Amino acid sequence: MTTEQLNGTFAALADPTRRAILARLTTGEATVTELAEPFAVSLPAISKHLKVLERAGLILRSRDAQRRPCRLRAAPLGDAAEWLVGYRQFWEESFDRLDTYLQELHEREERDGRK
Amino acid sequence: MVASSHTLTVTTPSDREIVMTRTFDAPRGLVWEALSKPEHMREWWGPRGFTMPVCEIDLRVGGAYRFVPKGPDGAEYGFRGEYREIVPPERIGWTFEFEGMPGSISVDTMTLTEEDGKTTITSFRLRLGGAARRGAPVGDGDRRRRDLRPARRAPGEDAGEHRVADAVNHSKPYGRESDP
Repeated sequence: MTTEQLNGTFAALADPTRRAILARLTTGEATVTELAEPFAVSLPAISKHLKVLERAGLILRSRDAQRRPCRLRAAPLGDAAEWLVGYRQFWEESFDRLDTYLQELHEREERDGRK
Repeated sequence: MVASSHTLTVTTPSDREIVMTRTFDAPRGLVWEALSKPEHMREWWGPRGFTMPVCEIDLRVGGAYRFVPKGPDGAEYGFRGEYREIVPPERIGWTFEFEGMPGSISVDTMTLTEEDGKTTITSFRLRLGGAARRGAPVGDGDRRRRDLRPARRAPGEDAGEHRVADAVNHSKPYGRESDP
C-alpha cells in the first residue's frame, strides 16, 4: 500500500456521508438511487462519494451497466488484516521517520555534549 | 547517513490485537523523549511527507492528547485519546481514536527496552471496537467488545451508539474543530 492509497483510505473514511454509505452496505448491496435516499444530497454527489470509496478499495461496483449495485468489498483477509489496512503503513513510515529523527537528535546531543 | 536496517515487524495475535516491534539505534531515554514530547512527536508522527500543525500533549495519566497530521495534499486528519499509563522511560499507554471514525477506539501500549545502546519499541494495540460494528469495513469485533471495554470509558465512546444516525444528519467531514 502506498502513501497515496493510505491517504485515500483515511480520506474516504473521514467523511460522515461515506461512513453512512458503508454502514448501509453492510446490510446488503444497493443501487446508487437506494443509497442516495436517506441523504439530502443529489445523485451526482452520491456518485462522487462512491467513486472515492471505490478508489480506496472499500466498495465494489458491479459491471451491470443499468443498476451498477454497490457492495462492500469482501474481506478475504479477515478482521485483523482489514483493521491493519492503513495502520501498518502508517507506523512503518512513522517509525522510519522516528529512526531518522533519533539519529539527528543523537548526533545533536553528542555534538552539544562535547562542546 | 547510513540507513538503518531495522524494520517493523507486525503480528496479529487475535482479530483485535496488533503487536508491532521496531528497534532503533538510540538509547532508551532519547526514545522516551521522542515519544512523549510534542516538540519531538511533531517531527516524526505520521506518514512520509506529512507535517503536524497540531500536536497537543498533556502528559499525565488521564491527560488528553490530540495530533493532527497534515498530508502533502493539505488534508488534515485528527487523532486523539488520553494517556492511561506513564512509566518513564519504560512504558507509555494511551487510547487512540481516529476522528474520522469516531467511536472506533483502541488502547495502545508502547514498551521500551534497551540493549547494547539500542532501543526496541514493542507496541501492543487492542481494538475496543465501536464505529466498526456500525458498518465501517475495518472489521466487526462486536461480540467480545463489552467484555474488553475498560472500566473507564474512552473519550467519545459513550456517543458511539448514535454515530450512524449522526453521520446521516451531518454531512460535514469530521464535525469537529477541523471543519473549515
